[in-house]
Amino acid sequence: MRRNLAWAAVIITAALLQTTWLDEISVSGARPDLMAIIVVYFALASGSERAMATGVLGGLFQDMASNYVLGHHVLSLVTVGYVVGRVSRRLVTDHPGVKAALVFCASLVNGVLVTLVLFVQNPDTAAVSTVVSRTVPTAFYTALVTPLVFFVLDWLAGLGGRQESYAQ
Amino acid sequence: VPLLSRIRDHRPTVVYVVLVALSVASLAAGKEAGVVTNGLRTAVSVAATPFLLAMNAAADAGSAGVEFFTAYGKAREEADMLRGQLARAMPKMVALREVRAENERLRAMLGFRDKVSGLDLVPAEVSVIGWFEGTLIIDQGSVHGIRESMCVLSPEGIIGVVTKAEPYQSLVYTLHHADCRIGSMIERTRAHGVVRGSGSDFTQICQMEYIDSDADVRVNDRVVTSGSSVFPAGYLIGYISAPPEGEGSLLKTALVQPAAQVYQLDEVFVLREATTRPEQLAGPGAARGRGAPVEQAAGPDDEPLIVQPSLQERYAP
Repeated sequence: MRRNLAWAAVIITAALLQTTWLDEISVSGARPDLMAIIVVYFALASGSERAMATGVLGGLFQDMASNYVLGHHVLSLVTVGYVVGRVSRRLVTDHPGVKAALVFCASLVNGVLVTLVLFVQNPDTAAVSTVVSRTVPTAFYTALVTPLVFFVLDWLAGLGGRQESYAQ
Repeated sequence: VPLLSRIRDHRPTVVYVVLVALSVASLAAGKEAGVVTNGLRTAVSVAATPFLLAMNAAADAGSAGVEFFTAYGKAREEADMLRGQLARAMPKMVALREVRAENERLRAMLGFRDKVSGLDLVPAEVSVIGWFEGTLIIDQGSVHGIRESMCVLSPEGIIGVVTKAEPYQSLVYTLHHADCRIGSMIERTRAHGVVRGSGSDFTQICQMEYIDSDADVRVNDRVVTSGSSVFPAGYLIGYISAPPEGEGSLLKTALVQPAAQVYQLDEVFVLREATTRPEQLAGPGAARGRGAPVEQAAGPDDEPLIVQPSLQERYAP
């Protein structure tokens, strides 16, 4: 119960940060995809089901905060969580670079899916240019901050009484 | 049972499919989904409220913490900036104060000029103050119509007389100059005399001489011009500052404190021409009581009286 509450608190905080403060550190419109990092973190630590639940909760908050149609971010984050959860079972290394690369791919998939859904809803959307000019830089930026976010999440997990780190 | 078993074996995939299906259904329904969307929105906002509050509190605390360390630097920068502004503003302020004082003086002079409509006054600025010599140099000269023996006065009272008119400046002997003598009278009693400066008097007190021994002279009596010299009648010279001396002799002498601060003036008037009205010459009260002298002095048609004194009259009554 306590673990689940802490998990929900982390997701809500991350979703709120995603929709508020991260604008302050955006570079040319690209800002870190914090929810993608969180989803990947829980996929690596607890498997695809926890990652999908993370995607649902975080996606709901993002949809509400961004005034998108409900399910927009949920769909993409759940997909990311499921895929990364499946991949993580075959991952045999703990190298931070590999995790950053995984987050890069996850952020890229997340961004592409969000843009794709937008394009389906509104075909006038410049999907390709959005992916090139926004999604790819965002994925790079997200991969860059991944070690820091994973460190903070590991530290929070340690505060919560868990001896083993999620990301180890 | 086999289906349940297969679902249990592939639970993540099933969950994924269900979630994707729900998401797609929601996306297909769009924003008009209504009850479910609104309910979720409410739940999300309620759940987010404490986190938002905590985040805002953390942000405020962070800002306050940063400000605590940077406040000194900011305060110092602000102090430097204010010091600079003050340094830039001080000369302006002094100039502004000077302009205001000048404005007040000029307003007073303008008011005086309007009040004494019978006088042709030329405004002049004091260029040089000769404190010890008892002289002033003004910036108006013969090209401006200034001539020797013209009267110099200010709204406060009589200043002196022009003794030398050069093209663009003139020399003025003030009340304190030893050679300056002004025909005067006690305003209250109309007792005549001559006001003169001592020339070396640092107290800048003048003397009123040749007062009739029977005349009633009291301290604080107003001493005005009598109209018997270059000055028009009735203009304030000063006040009797001490009881007269020479009781028992034919003539008395009294000390007069000049009304105008002669050496603190920036602007004065030079009187080019004067029209002496009867009541100025004899005083309003006196004019009613003794009409004859007034009429004689003013003339029957009350025409302007151009003051052109002789050389002897410049410095003597």
